[in-house]
Amino acid sequence: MVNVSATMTASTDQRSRVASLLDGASAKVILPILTMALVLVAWEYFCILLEIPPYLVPKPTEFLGRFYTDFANIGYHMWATSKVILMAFVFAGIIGVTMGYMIVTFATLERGAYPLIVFLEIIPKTITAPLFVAWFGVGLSSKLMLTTFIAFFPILVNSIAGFRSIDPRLYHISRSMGANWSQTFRFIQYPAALPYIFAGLKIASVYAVTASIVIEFVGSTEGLGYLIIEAMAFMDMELMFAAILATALTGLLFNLVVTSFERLVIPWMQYRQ
Amino acid sequence: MFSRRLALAALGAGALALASAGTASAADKMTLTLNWLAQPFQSGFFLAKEKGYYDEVGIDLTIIEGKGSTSTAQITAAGSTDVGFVSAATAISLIGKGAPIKIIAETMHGNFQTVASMEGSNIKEPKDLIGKSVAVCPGCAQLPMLKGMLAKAGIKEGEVNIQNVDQSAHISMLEEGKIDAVAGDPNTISIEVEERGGKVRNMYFKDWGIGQISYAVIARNDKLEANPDLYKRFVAASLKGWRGIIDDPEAAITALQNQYKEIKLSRHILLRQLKEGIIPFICVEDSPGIGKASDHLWDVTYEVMTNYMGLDANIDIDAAHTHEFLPADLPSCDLPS
Repeated sequence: MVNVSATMTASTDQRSRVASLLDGASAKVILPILTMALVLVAWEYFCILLEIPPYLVPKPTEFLGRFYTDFANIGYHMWATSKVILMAFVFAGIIGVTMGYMIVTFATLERGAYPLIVFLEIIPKTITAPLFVAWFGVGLSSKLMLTTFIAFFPILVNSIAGFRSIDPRLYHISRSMGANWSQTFRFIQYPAALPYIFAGLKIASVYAVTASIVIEFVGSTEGLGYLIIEAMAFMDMELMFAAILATALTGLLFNLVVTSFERLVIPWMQYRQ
Repeated sequence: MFSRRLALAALGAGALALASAGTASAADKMTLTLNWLAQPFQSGFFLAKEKGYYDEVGIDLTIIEGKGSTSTAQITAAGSTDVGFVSAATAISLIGKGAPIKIIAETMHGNFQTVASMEGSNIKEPKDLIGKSVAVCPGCAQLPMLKGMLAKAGIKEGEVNIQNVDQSAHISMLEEGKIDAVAGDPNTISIEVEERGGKVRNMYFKDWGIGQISYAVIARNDKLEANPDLYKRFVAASLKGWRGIIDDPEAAITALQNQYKEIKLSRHILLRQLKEGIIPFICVEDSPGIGKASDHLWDVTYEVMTNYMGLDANIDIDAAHTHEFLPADLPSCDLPS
């Protein structure tokens, strides 16, 4: 009886250790890495099994190898794309949040401007990208403009939702306590809208990467989109896939930065999750 | 009496319909994927189709527009199309990477691609590009050619600002001075700019050491082995069309416009593109005939591609192409006087 009990206690302890490992902060790193590793192994296996030619789909070992050997070049283009995304993200954030607040505060603005914004957003980016290049030339201006334009919409939509989410009774309370406009904004509106704004920022971080790559396909002198196109012209599929991997990593990195910033700015949200 | 005649007539009509259906189904279906959207420089195929040359040899040909030589070469290697019309350099690069395809006819021997600049820019030779910006369309065959020309001229990477720019923006950017030069097809750049009153200077890649075979027809090896007669018939009919564009460029443009009604360029410009930008390049000095490049040109192609365009020197260039599908009597390269 004692032995059974001891065995049961030991296995329960083991299960709790595994569970705590899986639930812990390390799980957020280990699990995605494991999943990615499994996907890559399966990819490698199927490429070998089905004899898929490398000029169509290279094996993970091939493009990961190129990622390593060409890291200096890939890193250069990764930075070129990243700095555009960073700048565009900041501009998109400022414009999106400000406009979201204005639209919620002034009903006329919502009725007049919002449908136009939605209309402009719906136009496919593969059409607007060449236009931006034709209007603003090849270089930072066109990249920044298109990336900002695309990234700002999810921030705007979520900012509107955030500022609208506030219980109107809080305004009565704040007014009755003598709070002015800036105090109401600082202590009630802004903190309440933050979770929604950050949700928009996380979506925008992915959109911004996509937008930047699309415009680099159409008009650029550097960046991951440029590298992908150049690799394609030389039929260098390994480099092309290595650059695609770098693009995905860039998106992940930005998402991670936004998530980390979110924890810093709204730490109370962690306890709700 | 009347009903008997009617019955006989119906029987006769039925027999005729059956016979026609039988004849139609005997034609071999083939797909040809082009390197790009339909343009005068592919009009050898359109003319052959318009004149019924493919029908005569029992081929029901469907021509599909492409999205770049790279994509067409890959589609051909994957077996998704029966034949591809691509930049020879792209095909050779893909063959070098193990693609099971072969060049079965070299339809354009002269490299007509250029670096075009406005007359006042004084860009006359590769060294004049140092410090300047050159636009190249994304993923296009001109990029390896441009880099090859610069390398041959001893110009280092980075000394020329190469910009990835969608083809639709090339002319406006060149005219507005937003770009110093464009690497591309003079038919879509120079002629159009000149028609709008501008003056363009063309620096041909072939004049600066990048004179490899221009465009070729490719097919997958297993398809060639499975039905060699089909491909011989296809090549024969196609080369007849290519000879036809030299003899009758007007008919070639008519064929293009009939088959691609969405082309908005004027007939005058299309004819200029064909007569000035294509016909003089179908053959070069030592070409034995349309469809077959000389051994010397193949040697030049190998030298240019291995030295300046990143091709692995171990490639067996002779195995990359075959002349077994060419007709015994090649159409001549002679230009009308």
